[in-house]
Amino acid sequence: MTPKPLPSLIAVIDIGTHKTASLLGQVIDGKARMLSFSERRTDGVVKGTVTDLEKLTQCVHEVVNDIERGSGRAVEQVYLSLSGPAAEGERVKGFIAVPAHDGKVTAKDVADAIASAKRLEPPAGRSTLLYMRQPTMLDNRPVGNAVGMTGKRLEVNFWRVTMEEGNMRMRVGMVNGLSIRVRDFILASHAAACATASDADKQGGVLVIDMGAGTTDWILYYKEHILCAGSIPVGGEHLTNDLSVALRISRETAEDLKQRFGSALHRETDVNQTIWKDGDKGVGDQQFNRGTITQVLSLRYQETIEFVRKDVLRRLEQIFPGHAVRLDQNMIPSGVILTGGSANLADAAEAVQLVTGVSARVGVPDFENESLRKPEYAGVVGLMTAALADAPPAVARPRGFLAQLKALFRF
Amino acid sequence: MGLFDSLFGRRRDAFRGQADRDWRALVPQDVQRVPAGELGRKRVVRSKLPTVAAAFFLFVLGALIWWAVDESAAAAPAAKVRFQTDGFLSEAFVKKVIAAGPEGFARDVRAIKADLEADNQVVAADVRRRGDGTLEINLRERLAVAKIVSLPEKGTSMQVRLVAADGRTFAGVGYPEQAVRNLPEIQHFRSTGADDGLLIEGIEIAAPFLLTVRTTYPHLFKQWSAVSLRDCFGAQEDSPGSNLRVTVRPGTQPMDRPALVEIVFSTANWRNELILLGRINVDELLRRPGTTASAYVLKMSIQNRTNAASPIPEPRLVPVTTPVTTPVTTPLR
Amino acid sequence: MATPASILLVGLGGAGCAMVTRLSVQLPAEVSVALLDTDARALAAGGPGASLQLGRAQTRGMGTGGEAALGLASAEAEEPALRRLFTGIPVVVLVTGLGGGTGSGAAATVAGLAAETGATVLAFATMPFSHEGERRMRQANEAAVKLGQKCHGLVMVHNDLLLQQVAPDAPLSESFAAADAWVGGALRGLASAFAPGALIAVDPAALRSLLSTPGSPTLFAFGLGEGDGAAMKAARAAIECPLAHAPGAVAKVASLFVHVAGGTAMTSTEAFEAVAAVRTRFGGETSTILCARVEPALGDRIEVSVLGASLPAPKPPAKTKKGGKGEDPAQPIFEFATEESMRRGLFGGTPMTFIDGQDVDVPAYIRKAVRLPPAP
Repeated sequence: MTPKPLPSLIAVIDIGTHKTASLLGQVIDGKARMLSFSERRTDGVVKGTVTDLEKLTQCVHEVVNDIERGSGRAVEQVYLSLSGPAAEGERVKGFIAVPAHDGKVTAKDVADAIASAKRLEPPAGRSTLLYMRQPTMLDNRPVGNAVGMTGKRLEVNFWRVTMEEGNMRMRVGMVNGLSIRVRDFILASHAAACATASDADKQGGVLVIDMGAGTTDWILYYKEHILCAGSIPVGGEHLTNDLSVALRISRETAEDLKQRFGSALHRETDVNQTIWKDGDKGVGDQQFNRGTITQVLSLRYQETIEFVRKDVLRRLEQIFPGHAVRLDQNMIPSGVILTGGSANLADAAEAVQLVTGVSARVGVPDFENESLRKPEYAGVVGLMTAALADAPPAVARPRGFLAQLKALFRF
Repeated sequence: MGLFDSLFGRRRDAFRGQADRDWRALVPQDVQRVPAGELGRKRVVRSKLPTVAAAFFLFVLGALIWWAVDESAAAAPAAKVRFQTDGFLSEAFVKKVIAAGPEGFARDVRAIKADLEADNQVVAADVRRRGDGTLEINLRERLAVAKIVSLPEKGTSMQVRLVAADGRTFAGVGYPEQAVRNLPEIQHFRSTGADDGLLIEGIEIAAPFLLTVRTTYPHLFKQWSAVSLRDCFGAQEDSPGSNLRVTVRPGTQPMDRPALVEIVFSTANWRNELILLGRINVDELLRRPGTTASAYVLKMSIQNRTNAASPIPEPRLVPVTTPVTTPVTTPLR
Repeated sequence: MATPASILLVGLGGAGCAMVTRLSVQLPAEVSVALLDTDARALAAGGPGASLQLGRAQTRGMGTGGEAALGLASAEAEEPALRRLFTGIPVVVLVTGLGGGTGSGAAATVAGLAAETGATVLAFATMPFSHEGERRMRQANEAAVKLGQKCHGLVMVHNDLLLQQVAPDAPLSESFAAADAWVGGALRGLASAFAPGALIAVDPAALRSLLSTPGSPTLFAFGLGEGDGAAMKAARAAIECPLAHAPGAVAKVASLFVHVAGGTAMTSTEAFEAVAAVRTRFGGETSTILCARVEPALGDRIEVSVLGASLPAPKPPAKTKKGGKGEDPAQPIFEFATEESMRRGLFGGTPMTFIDGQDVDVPAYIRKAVRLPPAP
């Protein structure tokens, strides 16, 4: 089934635990130019799980409203991001024995193999959301394009993302409630990688960790394809919560202290530093020990990265059973790219380097608009890039007289 | 797969495997339904608003253009008219005539005048337009001297038309009953044409005759009920036997003498005969002894000269032998 | 058991009985003790006070082996005996360790029975260490929910927090001593309401009315100070007590009971200052009940124990698809989610996540037993 041509407008919504951001872009010459951007605090999502659907629906509606008013265009279809442990991924294979005598693979063979892969049932109660291409194997050798090559056994691999049916219906229904169609889902970690990792990185092998407020999504690329992806339901909120419990302060104060004085590494020199909450030593000001702050945050941060590392290893073992896999510089030459709101924590990259033993850097999305070049917007910027990349270029629709007249009256 | 599927399509009750579990298959996205939530409804309104506004704008634009083009027709539709006539026509008739024309009251004055004068009842129309657009109309109507009664082909009731002094007939709009009854009827005439184009043979003699009687001898005019043109056709000035026979109303005469039922005038010499009639005393003539018949015809015409030597014709009273018949109302066509 | 006491201290399950046994050495006179367990040998080894073996037929005296269902069945089997135990007692303090079989399974039933007999039930429940694994943590969580619905006041003591109270190289027994100190302080506070001769007395009925609604969020704090300014030190210690700062602990309450006990040197000004400090921190706008006692045995130490309760949170708008359930007035008017948000703080309402057997929502430094330097 050939994908439908892109409409000239692309709208993407990234629903996160802390914020919901939406971007509206117009496709010109195969590139997306931003028309408008809107962002709101998310209400009703904790740890990537929806706790209050009404509030979340209201929030999403407001975001879409803002983006329409900002650009003056109407949104009809939207791409949604998929994050959190609710979207589970696994590898599915489909294979066929090459029918031709000389073993030459045809496009039809590839299509058959793909069909057989897609025919596999997802686990009970779950519906399939995404298929992402993984390397094709011909006689257990990974090949780029199998058509025309010779071999006996053709295997196509997909990374299939499934979600519980009720959860999926809820998300789609939330968007449909505003008379907008969901055009497709895009994996959030894949989106973050599209925004921050270059093609060269993906070719060599890279692990992208998007640490947001509620969840940490990671994705491992190898030879330009996704190898595996996963999610840990621990995020920046946990950092703040830890600090608020440890220092006996409110969450807002803890969030503020985390941003100003937090660090992912605990150094001995921090221990004796005293900091003031408000800084003016006025009434109601409080003193804190910097060491406490860094110790609490670094414990949580490094533990989370450790969880990610273990999750990656577990997945790799599932994919390559029996092989001894190690997550080291050989496996991912481009190292780890850290992104997401929590990547703003000081010394985050060093902490990751410490825990994983691989080089790490903070990834910033590459975007025309200056204000969106921050790690927390990697998700929404990446969604736009991924949406463009996964579909053929746009077909511009001629605008008739009536359409132009209507455009005059848009408020 | 393949032929089987394409022949039998998708059956919802059969689980066909992965295809059914794809999220697009599970959730047909029905975005046409009424949107939930306040923002959704506002959005729908906002998206429909440009269409509505554009349509409204086009409509208003069209209306403006139409109104501007048609601006001439909008001048004074209810113009005032000051009307005077010396006859019986009403203002409503005038207004109808004016309105029936193109542009109605906005026409120029000459056209209105022409329209009004096209009606046979109007002799002359003096149409002026005052400064504030009011029309001042003075009409002079034809004087009716006689009437003709006919039964039209397609009708059941009598059609009464009035005859004017110049021989033209008109419908007599606005004439009261009494006036029409007082007019003498022209009978036994031959005519061509119909309605306004009705041409009565011999009317060129009868009409001036009646006009003269009406203006000069109105007391006589009131007594006459009909004028018969039976003997009038083919009349020449001095041709013998060409008469105008006037029937006198029976009710206008005293009962104690014989009635005068008819007066006969000649077509050639009716003026002198009228003068003569004015001089003689018919009543005295009828009361002379020797008038024993019940009804008499007074013959005034010169054709009645019995004495060739006498230069002045004398009127004679001839007794009526046949019973007086009521005037024949059907014309001799 | 001869004279009906004012307060009955009940230990349920292995951990609960152990704590009660440790405490029973120095208890006020108004407190009597009862031990409930399925393990017959542990009961026999226990100290003075009544003991009742639960579930003779179910477990045959061998304990539940961590099965909460077995604990529940055992408690239900002994219902008449339990009722007799609780009859006529105004206040029951239930101490139990959740996570195991007897504690988790029987706690709600025992508390419910005690409440039915007319007693006010205050429960101290300990939550297992993070290292004890996912199953115990889940079981403890569920049991805490059910217990919270039945008892009038529930104070949760996270074992992880206990580790914070002691020096890193201290023996394990010392960390339990901290918990004992808290429960002991609570007992003394409650008992003084019933004992005569207080400096500022309190009516036990008022105390009971504080904890009148089952399922209300409960605050408990305890602090000890000595020397100069002992009252203020004690107040500060109570304010910073980890029990009041556990994840999901309630910060402000409507009704407060403050008990100040000190030696002969304590002045009423000091006492009032301490109370004022406590009130600023913990609320108590609706009512504050103050009790002050003089205990010569305390010397120059001053103890402040705080007990507080709020009205239960209003029921959130029902979004359930089923038709409205008939509301039983005796049932708490809580929704599960709000109860959750009190116990688990920010992460209430979301499923518990266990990675490597640990509940990752609990702060990392607690689970790793890292002791933080004190605040400057």
